[in-house]
Amino acid sequence: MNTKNFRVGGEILTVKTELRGGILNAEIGSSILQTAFQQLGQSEALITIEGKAHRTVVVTDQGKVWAAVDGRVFVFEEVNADEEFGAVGANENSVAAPMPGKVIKVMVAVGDLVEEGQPVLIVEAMKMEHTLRAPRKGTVIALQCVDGQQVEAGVPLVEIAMKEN
Amino acid sequence: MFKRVLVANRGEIAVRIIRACRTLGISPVAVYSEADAQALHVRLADTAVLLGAPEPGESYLAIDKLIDAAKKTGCEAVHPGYGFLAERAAFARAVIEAGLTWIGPPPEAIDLLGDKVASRVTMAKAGIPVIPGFSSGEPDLEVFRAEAKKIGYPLLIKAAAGGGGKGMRIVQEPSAMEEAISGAMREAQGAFGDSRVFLEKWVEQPRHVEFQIFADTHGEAIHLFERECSIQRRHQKVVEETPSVALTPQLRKEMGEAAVATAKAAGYVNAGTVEFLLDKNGKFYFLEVNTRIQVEHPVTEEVVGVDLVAEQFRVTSGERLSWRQDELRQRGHAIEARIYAEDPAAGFLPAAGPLLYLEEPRGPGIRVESGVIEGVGVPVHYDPIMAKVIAWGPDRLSAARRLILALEHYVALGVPTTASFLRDVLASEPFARGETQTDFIDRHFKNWSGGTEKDKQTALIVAAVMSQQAKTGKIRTAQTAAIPTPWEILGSWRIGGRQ
Repeated sequence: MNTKNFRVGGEILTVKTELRGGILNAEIGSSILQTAFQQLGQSEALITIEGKAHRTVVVTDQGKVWAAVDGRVFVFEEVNADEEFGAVGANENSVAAPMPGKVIKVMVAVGDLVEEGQPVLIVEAMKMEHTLRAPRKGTVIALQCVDGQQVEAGVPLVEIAMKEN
Repeated sequence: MFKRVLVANRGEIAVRIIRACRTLGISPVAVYSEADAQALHVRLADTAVLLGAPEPGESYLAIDKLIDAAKKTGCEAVHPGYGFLAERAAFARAVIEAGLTWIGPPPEAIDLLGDKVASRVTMAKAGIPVIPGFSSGEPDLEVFRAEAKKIGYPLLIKAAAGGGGKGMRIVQEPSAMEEAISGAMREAQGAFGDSRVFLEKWVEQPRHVEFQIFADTHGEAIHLFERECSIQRRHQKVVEETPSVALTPQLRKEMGEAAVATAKAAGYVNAGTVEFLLDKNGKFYFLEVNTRIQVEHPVTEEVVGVDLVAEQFRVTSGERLSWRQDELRQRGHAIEARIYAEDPAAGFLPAAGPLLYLEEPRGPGIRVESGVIEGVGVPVHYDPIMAKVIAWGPDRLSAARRLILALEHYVALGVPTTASFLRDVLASEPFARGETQTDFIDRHFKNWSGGTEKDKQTALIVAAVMSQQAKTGKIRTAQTAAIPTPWEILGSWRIGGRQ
C-alpha cells in the first residue's frame, strides 16, 4: 500500500491507499474502507461511499494538498515519512500577522507587561483593520516591526516572554 | 449611444460592465494594475491600459491616470462600477471637466448622498424617517460622549463618507468610545480619504431592506422593488434576495414611495439604492443612498427582468427610462451568494493567493458573475470578492435549492472561499423560515468549522491517492496552472491601435 502522512490542524494522520482495478482500499488510523474509485481527469475523481458518488478534486501546491469533496474544501500539508514529527503550530510566545498587510499601529514597546488578549498591533489588510492581541500574559522582549511597515503572514512581529515572578 | 467607454474598475463588476457594453455595441476599455495584468476583465476588453503599481492609490484610485487612460484610448464616457472611486464626486467632476461623460448620478447628488451626515438631514427634512443619531463637523470626543449618552448604548459609529462596513464600529459602553472613535476615523481616512464619523442608534435585530431606484434626465424616477440583504459579516452583505419575506404589499408600497421621494429630494439621475433598516415591528428608517450600481443588482435583474447596467448607459446618453412604474412586476424569487476569498472558519479572514483550480456552476436559473479565472492569483491589495452566484426560482424555496446545488458545484482551490459556508447558511432552518436579521451569522453560525468528519476522511483518502500521481506529473500543480497563455504574454496590448 502507498503511505502518505498529512498534517491536519495540529495532528499528523497516516493514510494508506491501494488502487487496483477501480477498487480503492484505504486505511486511516483504525478506519478501513473499500470502495469504488474512478479518476476522471488530471485532478478529478469520483469516489463512492455508502452508495453515493462524491465528486472530488485534488490539487497540490508547495507541499499543500487542496482537496474538495462535493465542493467542501480541505487543505492538508503533506509530511515526508522521514521528516521528524516535531513541534506543530504557531508559537504561543509571539504575535504574527495572519495575512500579508501593513502595520498601522504598534501599541506596545519592549519591556511592557501585557495581559493575555491585550491589543498589541493593528494591521491593515484588504482595506480592513485587524487587531492582533497578546497570546499570553508576559513581557514584550522583542519588537520586529514599526508603524507603516509591510509585513508577511506568519512572521513573528512581537515576542512575549512568560512573566517570571 | 457611446462608441467607446472606459471601465474604471476591476474584478467581477468590470466584467459585468464590459458585457453590458458588448450588448449595446460599445467598445469597452479596461484598466489594470500590475497585480491584475492577467485578470479576466483585461482579457475581455478591446483595449487595456496599465495604470501602475498594485496599491489602489497608484492604480484604481488614481484619478489622473484614469482620465489619461480614457483620453488616450478615445473613450467618450467612464463607468466607475462600485467601490474605488464610484462614489467620489471629485472623480465624477474630473471626468466631466475632461470633456467625458460620467456614467452615474450628477456630482452634486453624490456629494449630498455620499455624505451620510448631509443626506440624513435632507431626508429628515423631506419627511423620510431616519434613525436617531448625531453628527458633528468637529471630532470632539467629549461632545460625542455627551451625545452618545442621549442616544443610548449600544450605538454605532459610522464613517460620514462611508459604506461597506469600513470605518464602522459598534460601541457597547462609554469606556470603549475613545478607542472605537479613533479606530473608525483612521479606517475611514484610509478607505475614503475622509475621517469624519457620526453616531447612530443601534436598532436591535433589524433587517436590511433596500430599494433599487432609477431616474432619467427627463425628471422621471421609479423604483424596481426591494432587496433584502440582512445576512452580513463585518457589516458587509454576503447573501441577498428579492422579494423580502418581511414586506407586506402595503409596506412594499410605502417603502417604494419613500425611495422614489428620496431620489427626487436629491435630484437623482441614474441607478441608485436607497437603504432602509426595518425593525421587528415593521417600522422602517432611511439609512443611506448608494449612488452607484450595487454588488447585488443581479437579483433585481432576475426578478424584475431588466438589465440595470445597460440602462445606466441608456439613461446617461439621454434616453427616457425603459420602464414605467406601473408596468414593473416581481416575478419569482432570486438569491445571491457572494463568493469571497475569505476563511469563514477563521473569522472571515481575507486571503490571497493563486487560484489553482476553478469550476463554476451551471444549470437552470443559475447565473455566475465572476471576476476570476483559474491559474491567476487573487491579489492581496483589493476587496477579496471573487464572484457572485445567483439563482432564480419560481418561489423562495426553489431558488434556495438551486443556489445550494450551484454552490456545491462551485469548486475553487488555492484560496479559502465563502462558498461552502453560504451553502450551509442557505440550507439552514432559520434561513428557510425567513428569519434573516442582520445578526444572523453571529446567532446561528458563529462556530462554523467547515465540512463534516466524514467529508474530511474522504478528502484525506482522495488526497492520498491523487497526490501520489503528482510526482508523475498527472495532477495539476501550481506550476502547470501558472503556464502563461499567449494573452498573458502579450501584457499591455491594444487592438485597433487607437492612441
